[in-house]
Amino acid sequence: MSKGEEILKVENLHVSFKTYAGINQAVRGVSFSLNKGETLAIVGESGCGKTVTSKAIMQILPQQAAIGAESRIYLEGKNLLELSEKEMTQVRGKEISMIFQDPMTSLNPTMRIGKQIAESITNHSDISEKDAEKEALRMLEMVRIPNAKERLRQYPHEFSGGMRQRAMIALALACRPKILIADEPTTALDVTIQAQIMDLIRDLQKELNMGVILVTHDLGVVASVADKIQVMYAGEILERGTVDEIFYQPSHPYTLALLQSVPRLSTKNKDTLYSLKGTPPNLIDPPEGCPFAARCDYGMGICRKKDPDATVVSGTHSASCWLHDARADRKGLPDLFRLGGEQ
Amino acid sequence: MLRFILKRVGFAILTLFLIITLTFFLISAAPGDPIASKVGQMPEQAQELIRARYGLDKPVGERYLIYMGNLLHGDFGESITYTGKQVNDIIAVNAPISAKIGIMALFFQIVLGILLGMVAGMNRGKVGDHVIRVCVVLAICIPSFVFAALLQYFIGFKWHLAPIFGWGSWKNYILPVTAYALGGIASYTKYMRSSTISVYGEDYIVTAKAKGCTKNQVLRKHVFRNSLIPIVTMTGPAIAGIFAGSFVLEQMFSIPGLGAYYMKSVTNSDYTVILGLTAFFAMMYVASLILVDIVYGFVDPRIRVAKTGKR
Repeated sequence: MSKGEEILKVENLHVSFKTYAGINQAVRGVSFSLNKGETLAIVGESGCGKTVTSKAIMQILPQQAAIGAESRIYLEGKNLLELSEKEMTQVRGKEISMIFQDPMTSLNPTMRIGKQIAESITNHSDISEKDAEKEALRMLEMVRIPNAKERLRQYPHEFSGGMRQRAMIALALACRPKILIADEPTTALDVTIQAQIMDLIRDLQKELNMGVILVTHDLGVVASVADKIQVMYAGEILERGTVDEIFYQPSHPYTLALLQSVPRLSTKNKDTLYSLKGTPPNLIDPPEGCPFAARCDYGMGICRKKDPDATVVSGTHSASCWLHDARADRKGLPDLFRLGGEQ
Repeated sequence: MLRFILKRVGFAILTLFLIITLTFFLISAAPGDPIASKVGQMPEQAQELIRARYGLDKPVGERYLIYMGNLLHGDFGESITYTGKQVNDIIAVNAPISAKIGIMALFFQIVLGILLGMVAGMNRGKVGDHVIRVCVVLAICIPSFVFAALLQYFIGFKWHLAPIFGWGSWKNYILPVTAYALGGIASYTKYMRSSTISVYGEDYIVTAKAKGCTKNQVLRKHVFRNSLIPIVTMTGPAIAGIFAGSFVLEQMFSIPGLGAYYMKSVTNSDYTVILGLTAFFAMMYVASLILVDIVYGFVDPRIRVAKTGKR
């Protein structure tokens, strides 16, 4: 298989959670695709549904979550949602792997690191425990953990945060998966360690020609590693495009607000950092129209009545916003903002 | 590891010393006369003689020193109520009987409690969980002697499935062990259930699922060991309860354990027996706590003591 071939396709994904207050519609009609060797970043603030989307692909959502009947998740053309639980266990860790936000809690504290990695291998092949341990050692060396042989026999509490995340990556990649989902892999780490981990993921991605889905709210991380970005808000994708398109020509007011709230070296001490006011809508009773309307600086009457369809700005770039409609009032819109549709 | 154990044993001896000292002076200060029931209407001179025979004519401080001196040789002294009977013999003969009941009950408590707790925890909110939880609340609320009476009436008296009381045959174990175990099974179930539920919500369980473990593997390799940690804590005091937990039941089932001696010694102010048994129970308790600390290390590597003994 060559690079660029489509391996994952998510269509109209809906995920809802049963809570005491009612049904929380965490993900509302998300569609996207991922190619081999490509990095897709899903960005958005906390609670926008990015983690739920990635866990839905793995089908490791908590019990009270339900994936909508209209949803489709194709892995190389095979709909994962139609697989039995037993068939799905052969997909998890082998075809698609996942690493998590907090390496401090994501490893079993009472199991040796080597055994945890080896378990991932024995789950998917018939090799002996001994050979699996050997393979685990190779994996630890691959993620550049020094003294790997010694480390293999240690427990997670003997590892630092960065080392644990490396061990997590070794565990996730032990079966050479086609897709790696990295759910905020660097959020809990120091900035210097963050860069090391991202470099490691990128190197291994090249080596294994994996598709990577990077879930994060850190735009700095995204800029350095992603090929494509999709911006999520309130369980929907508001804008998608390449890194350059999203960073230099944002086409949705929410993306614009996210970019403006990133501190820059050029920011003077006296300048106030932009901060987006308000909170995301309650998804137990989602608002009519555009979910961002209530916090939007450029909101119009239509925004609160009807949810806009995605407007294509360029071949790979699209955004769901009424500003792209020719009739929109675009007063005060910054030059940075890229308009699409019929002008 | 050795250094850790030695240190713990050192503290244990200090603890025991304090317990015995405190008990000694407390029972001496308590009202009641250990020889009152023995001497009855005897003339005063005879009373004095008996008092002197047990050293009770000496001041408290001196008695304390003599007692502690004997204790250093492992001698608990002679019972005042039962003439000529050594406290050491009482413990040697009767403690194993109590222990047999206690160990069997503890075994069922732990095994069944862990099993039921995991079943309930894994099926949280389903019918099985609700049934187990209702039974647990009932079993915790009902005292063991009520169970004992019910068991004696139904199983022993009505259905003739097991002897109602007595000692000697293996059948005599059935009812007291069951009555003793029920409450413990319920508490272990309760703790194991909540422990299982909390471990099941941990991030590393999601990791285990994400690497393709089946539900069974997740349970066996990841949930089980981690949810055992609070159970180990609970088991420490329970080990001490092996000897002291079934006093009331021993009376109900006429089992010649330590229970009868302990109760009688308190009502008769039998100083040596009270002190001896208290010291014995305290020793068992302290020893079981040290044991728990060691077992902890096997279950949870985070609290395992460094092999080099640096700590």
